Amino acid sequence: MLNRQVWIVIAGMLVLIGAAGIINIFINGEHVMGTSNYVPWGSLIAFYVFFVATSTGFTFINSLAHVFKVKRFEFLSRRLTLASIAALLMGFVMIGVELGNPLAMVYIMISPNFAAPIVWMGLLYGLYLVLHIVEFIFQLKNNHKVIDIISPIVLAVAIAAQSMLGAVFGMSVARGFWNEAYTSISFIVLAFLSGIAAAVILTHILARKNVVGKADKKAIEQLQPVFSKLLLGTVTVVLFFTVWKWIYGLYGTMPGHADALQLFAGGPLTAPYWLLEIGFVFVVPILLLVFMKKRRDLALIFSSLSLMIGIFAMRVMMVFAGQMAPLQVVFGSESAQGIREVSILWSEWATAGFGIGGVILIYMIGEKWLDLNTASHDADVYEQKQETYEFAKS
Amino acid sequence: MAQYGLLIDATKCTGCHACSIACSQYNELEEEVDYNRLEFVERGSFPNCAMDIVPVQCMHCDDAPCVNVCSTMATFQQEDGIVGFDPQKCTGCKACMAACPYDARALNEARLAEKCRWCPEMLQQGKQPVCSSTCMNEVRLFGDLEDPDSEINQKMAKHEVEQLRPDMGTKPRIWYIKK
Repeated sequence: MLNRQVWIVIAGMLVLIGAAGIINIFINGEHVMGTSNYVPWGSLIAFYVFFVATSTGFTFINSLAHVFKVKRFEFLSRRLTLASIAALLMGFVMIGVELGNPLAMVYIMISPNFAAPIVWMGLLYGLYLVLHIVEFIFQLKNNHKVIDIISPIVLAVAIAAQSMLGAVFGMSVARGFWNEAYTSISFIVLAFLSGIAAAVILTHILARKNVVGKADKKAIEQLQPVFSKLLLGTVTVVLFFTVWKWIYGLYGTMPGHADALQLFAGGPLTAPYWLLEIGFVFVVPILLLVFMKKRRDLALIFSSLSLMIGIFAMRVMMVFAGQMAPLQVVFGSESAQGIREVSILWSEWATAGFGIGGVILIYMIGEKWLDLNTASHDADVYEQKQETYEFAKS
Repeated sequence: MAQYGLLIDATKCTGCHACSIACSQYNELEEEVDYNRLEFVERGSFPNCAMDIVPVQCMHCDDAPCVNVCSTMATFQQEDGIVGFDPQKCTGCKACMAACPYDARALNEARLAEKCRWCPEMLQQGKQPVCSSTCMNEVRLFGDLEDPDSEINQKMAKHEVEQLRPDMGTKPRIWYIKK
């Protein structure tokens, strides 16, 4: 496992290269992005979704302690909140780079269009960030009274914001692949999944690098069966959504929807879809979690890494597939044939790298300068951790 | 207040692209930006075949998805029914481009999602938009839908008309004369 200095160097390099990509996008605009007038939403939108969804997922895990009173997660609270804020901030960076004229965002305050899902998404994510920071401050102050009040609100706002993000896609009537009632719901479930996977990776590193004390290290070990069940359960739900998306798309042969699915079945997205989405999000994690119970720690970390890579790709393919199938403006016309081209250019990859490096750096700064070891407000927590361990063993 | 609309007799279109060129010149559009385009549809099988030409542009829908999704009201419905655009307010989020079922928006160099505004300066002078006035075959007839005696209403009464993608529920303000 890499030491702290190496992590900082890697994250720093990602941020520096990312900054170059961001500057390139600001100077040259869409010319250095893989988008077009036919595929206006490119990879940066997908990266934005990925980061803010991961933040929502972290909040979900965090809420297990403060909202649902599952005390065994409480010792992770501060770290999960910090990671969530870092992911959220990097999500904002992604969308900030994507916007052609971010300064005009001021008009959301002056002349907001409340019929636009983006307005609600922006308001909810803004509120989410503010509340999250307040929550973190009170976590650092160990003020459990306020935390217990604010945490359910943070969770509710996080879920509302994520579902509204789903609505940004889901309400696009023109795009058959996105235009479904359950787009918002599947966004929330996938956000939970990415949050759980990211939390597993985080706790694995914390334990392996002795960042946390012996008691917390033990507690992390005891959480493994819980994480394993959470991952497996959530992957199953996501699989359920995916299977039904296929059935609906193929059965109805709806324009846009069925066309997009064909991109995954013999089209240009076939290889990445079956390898990265089906393979990395479903096959690998399910096989590892079901058949590697004796080495649960390895199964967890590898399935989580697989999931993060797969979900990242899944977000990109969701955004692309909705636009690559040409709109049938005039049925049978030449322009309605074929597939709209889209790609991810180096500046966009670099911007994604900025996000990943940024999350790592913000987290490590927090780990260095703040006390992230949560003081429990319940004397029985250790006993409960023991109970969990015994339960898991049984 | 006049309510503007456009009737397109695509059967007369020669595919000369004069409408697109006039539009580009009038609006000083950049190379990759286009408010007007022609769609080509082949019918039949060789040697018994023909080609239809369908001019396509912003449909100035009554229930415009681009207006609905615009967070800052940079895209808005004018009183005369034209879907207007205020570039100052545009954040460049491209939601309107993703929402439009007619592929009618185009991003300019400033990363703003521009669109046809039916040449407001020409309308103020009582003239037709340049795409209509340029067309040598009078394919495009622009007019006031509120005025029962307007040429557009008279012509629409004489022909069977249709709209593009009415299933999208956008209520476009452009009609096409059927063959």
